[in-house]
Amino acid sequence: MKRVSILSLIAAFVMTMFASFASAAAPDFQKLGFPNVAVEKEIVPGQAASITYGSVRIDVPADAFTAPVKFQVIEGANADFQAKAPANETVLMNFAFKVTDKATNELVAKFNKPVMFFYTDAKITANSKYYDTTVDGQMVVNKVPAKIEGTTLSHPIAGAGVGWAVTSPAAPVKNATSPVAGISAAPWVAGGSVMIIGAAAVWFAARRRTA
Amino acid sequence: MLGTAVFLYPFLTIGYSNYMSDTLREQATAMVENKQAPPTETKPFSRGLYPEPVPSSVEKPTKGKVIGMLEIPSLQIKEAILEGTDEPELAKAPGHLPDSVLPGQLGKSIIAAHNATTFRHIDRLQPGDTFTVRTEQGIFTFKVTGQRILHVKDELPDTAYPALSLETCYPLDALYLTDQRLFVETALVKSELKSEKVRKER
Repeated sequence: MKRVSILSLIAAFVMTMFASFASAAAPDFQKLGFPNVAVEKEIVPGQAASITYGSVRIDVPADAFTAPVKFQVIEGANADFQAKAPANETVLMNFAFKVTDKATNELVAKFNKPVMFFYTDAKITANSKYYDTTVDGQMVVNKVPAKIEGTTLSHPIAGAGVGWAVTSPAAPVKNATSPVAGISAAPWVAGGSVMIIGAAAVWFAARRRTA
Repeated sequence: MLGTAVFLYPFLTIGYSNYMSDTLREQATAMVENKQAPPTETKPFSRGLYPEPVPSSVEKPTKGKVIGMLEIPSLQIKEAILEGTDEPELAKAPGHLPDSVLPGQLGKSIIAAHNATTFRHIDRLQPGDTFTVRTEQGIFTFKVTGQRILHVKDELPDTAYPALSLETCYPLDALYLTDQRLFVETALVKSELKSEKVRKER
């Protein structure tokens, strides 16, 4: 009886946590490091849509939403995400979604069916990575590896609870440390001093001998 | 006499550097301010990842040529930038590393200068500080993102956004050649590109 009660409590706790997560409102990533709207489109339920901008394509399935939504793709400064990325990786791009229910004006956190994200860049390699950027600004590698075909990276996205960033192994700047931006003053001053002192010593010695 | 000449050589070098800096500063001022129309408004740039960069098609300048002006008001730096980072260029002014992209282009541009002269106090630049680089392509505002010290055998990672690194020998007060380099890392936060028309008219 006691065991059943404990199990029941645990089950109730897990269900409560799940329910609260599922119903949680999406964070507004426009205020969390993604201030720029790259593109926006109105999505009507029952109609598949494709959103393209720059090197990005996002395919929205027909049944991703049950109500009309305003679908915004938002971006932040790459430099800000570079500061959070591992030192040996270059942030190629970052983005998040801001999906607003047009009827209620509330942000939509979860999609009924995942949308597909495609990013094409000459710098995409087999070692490119797909990160989640969390509300506290951390970059965490997504548990589902991205699919990489040639120079295109793709990944399914089932909600707008986090933002994302794509990285590739960093290439170095050629000859970055080659400039010799110092002046070798000490050896010259020391050498000159030795020569002056030596010359003075010789002069004094010669003078003493003459005297 | 020879000893005196050897003793004075570094001081003469610094004096020559200061003299040339003044001359080149005038050249750079004329290049970025007087001979050109004011920069046009930056055309709307659809992507929010970084400000509009200088096109990669811009021709590379020849070595030794003045390519722009570096202005860091907080350090009282207003110096011409020469193309090249060999001793003949760095003896006169800060130099742009030819292997790196031009300031404002996509990637990391490098401007080096002597630690004994122009970049003596460059470590005082802190994250968030801003400065400008003016070139034939426009006016570019960079924001400091951090500093790093590398050994000459280390590599400096490139970026996928317009960035600029100010480089000098480290330690800054070294009176000898060192095997370490200080990089002040920055990112482009504002670009005011000159229109293609203005550039072609020149």
